[in-house]
Amino acid sequence: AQKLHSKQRQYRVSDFAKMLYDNSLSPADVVCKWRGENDKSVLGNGNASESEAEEDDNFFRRAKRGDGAEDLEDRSIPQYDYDTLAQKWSDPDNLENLRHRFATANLLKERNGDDGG
Amino acid sequence: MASTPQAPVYLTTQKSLAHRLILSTLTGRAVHFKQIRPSSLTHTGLAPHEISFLRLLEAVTNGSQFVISVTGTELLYKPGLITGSAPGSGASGGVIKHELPAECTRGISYFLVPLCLLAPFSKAPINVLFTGPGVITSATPSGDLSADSVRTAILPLYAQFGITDNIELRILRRSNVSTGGKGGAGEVQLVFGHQVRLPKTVHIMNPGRVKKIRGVAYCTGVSASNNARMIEEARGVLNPMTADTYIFSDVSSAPYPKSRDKSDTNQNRKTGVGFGLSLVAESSTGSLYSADLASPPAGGVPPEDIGRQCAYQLLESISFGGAVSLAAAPTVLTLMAMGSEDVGRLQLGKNVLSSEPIIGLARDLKAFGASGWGVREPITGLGGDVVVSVVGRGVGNVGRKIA
Repeated sequence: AQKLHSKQRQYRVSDFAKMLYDNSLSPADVVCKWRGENDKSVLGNGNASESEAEEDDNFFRRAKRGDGAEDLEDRSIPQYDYDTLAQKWSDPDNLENLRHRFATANLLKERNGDDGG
Repeated sequence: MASTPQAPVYLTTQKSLAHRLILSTLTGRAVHFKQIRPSSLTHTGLAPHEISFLRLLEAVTNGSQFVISVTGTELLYKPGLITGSAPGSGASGGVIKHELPAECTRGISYFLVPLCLLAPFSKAPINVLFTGPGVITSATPSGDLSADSVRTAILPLYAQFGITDNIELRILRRSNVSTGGKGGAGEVQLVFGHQVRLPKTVHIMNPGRVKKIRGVAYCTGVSASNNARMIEEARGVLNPMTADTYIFSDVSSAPYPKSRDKSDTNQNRKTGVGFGLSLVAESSTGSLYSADLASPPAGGVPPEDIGRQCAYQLLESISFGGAVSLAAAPTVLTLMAMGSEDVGRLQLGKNVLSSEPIIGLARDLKAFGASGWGVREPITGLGGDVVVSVVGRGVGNVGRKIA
């Protein structure tokens, strides 16, 4: 169980440093793997089949649409799903969590947090 | 620089083409692109905005060579010297007039952000007037920043690198995206008069706390009440977080481009009608987070939605953390990589660092001969951030041997 847990652990900086310049992984794969979004990837054969699947996916999508794959165009603002965003940011809990990033945050509480960290 | 003995860097697809061309120009390495939209049936090869960008590069450099294949799917670029708007190279009166065609679908920031990256390394000041029926100053559905955000969220970043003087972005005429997502006939002038030998090595480690939010609501050719409605909704979302929220309102009439063909009456009409909102949050340490949204070219979205969604986008951007937002990270990281041969550090949010454009940028920089980034956990400070160490390449400005 511990092993499983460690595999799904996301955001390990050392893992990212390893993957950053691994050219066998596309940037999209790195993002997925690091964020732990694809649980199915098992170490070993995971890499190859995964990138293949990605390629296939790209291939079919591009052929179907025929007007250039959207994901190859650069965007400086990512495509957001505004319904999800609206849900996320109308939730008072999320807003409270973000409050420490604002100057209006309760400084006493913040100080306690700083002491702890 | 023009006569590099090295083989060109081989890259595929049109992904971050503009940024790669900039890296090529800065490092002096030739670059060969392959597979530029090879399977597209309607728009094979280089798109109008990319061709426009090549023309812009040609205008601000001297001795650049472009070889485009017959189908437009391959491009070989040999960079020249960055001369800026020096007289005698296409500039009249110190101003390069760059006309964008009506088919251009990208916002003006597509050109401005890369051009700003070249500007500090130019021999002469850069002064480019963007004009023509393709200039869109608003945010676009293709994910470009508005010109306002470039002015308020990207240009201030250069100050941290010691590039402060005589930098100005004038929005002379506003324009939104026209129907069909093409063109807008706005007018923008970029003056970038501070050239340096090398940008300073920076250590941006403290994101600080957001203390104020500024914004610009703009509308062209539609009622000014749209602005008020956008501002009202955005403030409704943001005011509980910080009371210091101020959003400017800018109302202008829609551009009315003159068609070259007099008989074509259909062409003689207003373009670029719409509205949009640009929000920038500034932290106590000067970190900037921006959000941009404009009405889609097809219309049918009430200004309330734009205002609210833009505010949510800003909150999302702030929640990513780090000292630099996603939109600004490529600029900052590139300047750091072009700095003196010293280690600069930058604190980035994990979501920012692990985004595709940034990973792509890391690999591109390495392909062009910059050293790899070091990534580690920050010693102090907030969780959820990562410290990236970037070693400068020490290329600097060949046109300027003395600082």
